[in-house]
Amino acid sequence: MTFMDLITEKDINIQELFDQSHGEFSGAVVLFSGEVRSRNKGREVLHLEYEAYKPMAEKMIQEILKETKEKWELNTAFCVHRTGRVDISGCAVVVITASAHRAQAYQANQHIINRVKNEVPIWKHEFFADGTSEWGDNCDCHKHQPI
Amino acid sequence: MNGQEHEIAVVCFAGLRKFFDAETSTKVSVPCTYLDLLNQLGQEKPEAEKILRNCRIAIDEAFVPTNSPLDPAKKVFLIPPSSGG
Repeated sequence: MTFMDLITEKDINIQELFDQSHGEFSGAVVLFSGEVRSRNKGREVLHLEYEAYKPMAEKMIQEILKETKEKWELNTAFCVHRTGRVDISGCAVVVITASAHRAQAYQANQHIINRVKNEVPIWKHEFFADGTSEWGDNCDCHKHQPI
Repeated sequence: MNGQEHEIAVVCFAGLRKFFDAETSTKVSVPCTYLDLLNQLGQEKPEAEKILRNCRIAIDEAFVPTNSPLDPAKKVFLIPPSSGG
């Protein structure tokens, strides 16, 4: 198996990761792709730029994947996050989980992305059509923001 | 008891860089805690107080409690609230 960096400035090769996720003991493979949308909080977004404290972020993602893999008895757990510029509809983060049955794969996948968003030192910088830009503040994944 | 002044190296990320250079330093009187360092930086840049209040502290690529004793020999990484994904 080949490993991509967990934090990468390059486009994430989703197909390559997905191809590595199958296995004879896995009846379910769940793939989540976090992508850049053109509106956020009522404003038009042009693109995002991500920054990370890379050595620490990679270490934390590895630990999250290890813990999650053990807890949900996964056969596969991948997570790769972008840094640098990501355009609209571009992939900012991918999480893949594979397990014998779908419940574990779904639950574990959501657990991984929630922890990555909340805990790992990665930051989003949003660039808007009105010429302004903002650093994202704390994870808003549990709120229902207007889009 | 008066402490000894130390120059502490501080690394800033993301929104913090609106207020501080990516690598900066500040003087604090040791012994003190990382919270004291955050307060010191907040006094230097009052407009950064809000984000400083929400920062975590990382030393050697691991989080430490803000109320733990500051090690003047270690570079301090200020970690603003995460916003990945």
